[in-house]
Amino acid sequence: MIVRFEPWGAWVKLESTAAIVALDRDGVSALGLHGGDVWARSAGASPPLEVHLAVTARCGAGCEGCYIDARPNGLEPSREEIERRLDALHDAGVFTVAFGGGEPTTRDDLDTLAAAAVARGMTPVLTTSGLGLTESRAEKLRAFAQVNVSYDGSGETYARVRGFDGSSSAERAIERLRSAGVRVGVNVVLTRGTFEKLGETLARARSLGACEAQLLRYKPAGRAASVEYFARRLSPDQARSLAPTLRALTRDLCGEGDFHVRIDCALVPFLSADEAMVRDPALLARFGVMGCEAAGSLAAVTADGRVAPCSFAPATDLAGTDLVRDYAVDPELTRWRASAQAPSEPCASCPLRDVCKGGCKVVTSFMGAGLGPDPECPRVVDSKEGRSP
Amino acid sequence: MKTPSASDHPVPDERDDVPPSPPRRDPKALSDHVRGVRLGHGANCSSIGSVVDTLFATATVGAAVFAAVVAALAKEPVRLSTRPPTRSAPEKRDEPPP
Repeated sequence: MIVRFEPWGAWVKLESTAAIVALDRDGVSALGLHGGDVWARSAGASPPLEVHLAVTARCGAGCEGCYIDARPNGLEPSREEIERRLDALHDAGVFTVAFGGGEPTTRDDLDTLAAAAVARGMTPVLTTSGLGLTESRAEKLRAFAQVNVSYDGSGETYARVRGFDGSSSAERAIERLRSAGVRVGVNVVLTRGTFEKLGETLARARSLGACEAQLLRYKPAGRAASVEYFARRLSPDQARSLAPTLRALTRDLCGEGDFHVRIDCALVPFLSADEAMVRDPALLARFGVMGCEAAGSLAAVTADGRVAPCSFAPATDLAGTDLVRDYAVDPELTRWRASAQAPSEPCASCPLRDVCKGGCKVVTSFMGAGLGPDPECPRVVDSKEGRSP
Repeated sequence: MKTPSASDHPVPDERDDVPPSPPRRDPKALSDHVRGVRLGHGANCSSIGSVVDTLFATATVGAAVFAAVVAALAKEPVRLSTRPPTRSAPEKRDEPPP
């Protein structure tokens, strides 16, 4: 296991099983360790646990809702430059580096970069559209702990999110990765159109060999930051029904333990509509559910090498190679963390506050509410409409 | 539901090590001090994800997953991360993790 001391104890990354554990100080002592300087001094912001590293801004797919507005002629940093960024992430004590883009598989050196991350003690994972992924390219992705393929559904369901039907290519990629011995999952963007097909989409992904589905809230960033967002985002009723939907999916698909469902940070506020979740917020904490961790446990490094609070947020002026020195003091990152640590009402009194941290700041910013409470959260909606949450 | 899937990513020796840890620790002594467990690799490059099927599974299944993680915690050898000293910042962030 790898132990990273924190002011409250330590994060522990297990090696025999894919898990990260938060252990308090007494637990760390039970391992025979002491946090030393980290426990003694006044706490500043910890470096991120997980970093999303854009290894290219190049992509020819042209998805309508691309969150970085990737284009075929996008910037592509050299291998040497990316290795310098990996050095900085290693020095910061980052556990997981998620390679993304643009379309990362447009690079010929992904296997080398994955090996470089492993050599620095980090777990590399990858997200791809799967478009054009040949068998030989799939085999070169074996160094990644997991590869997720963007798969929003079959046929028209996929096309409604991206503007074209790439579902058969995505399905082929899932099968090829599985055949190559790569652990494969799917990323499913939740929109008004994909939500109703979710059970079908996940069952299909599982039948093709995916071991996990990551559900993602549709976010108004990049090309998705347009008026179209309002037609594509989940309806209020769909947002409120997220927890019961997850309950049913878990029952139908996860019983045998060979398939898991994840939700992204931005979906956590929707759990506030579920009585059982609100009644037992400790359960979410126990299983490490994370809401907005932008500029906290999560950060992104853009293709041009700058640090952003998360992949959807505007980049700061901080260079990725300066992460160790300035992550805790960069003013913009500090502002993001502050809003998550001390959200205003109705978040301040929400039972899920410590996990959710005020909802998605990218959505909030787009809606003109700064870094305030997430305006699409059912609790926030109820509060605004005068209903007691 | 079975316990978390195995990772095949050992950490190389070049990471800063500490002296060998005790060969066996008491899982019971550790379990009370686990504040949270994040399962899986999280292979998404745009936002941070959390496994939620454990939230909706039966308490027995949840407990089994938790026990498997604590068992691993009790027996794996320890290495220290290279986390550097943190510069002082205008904020205070010493709250427990999620």
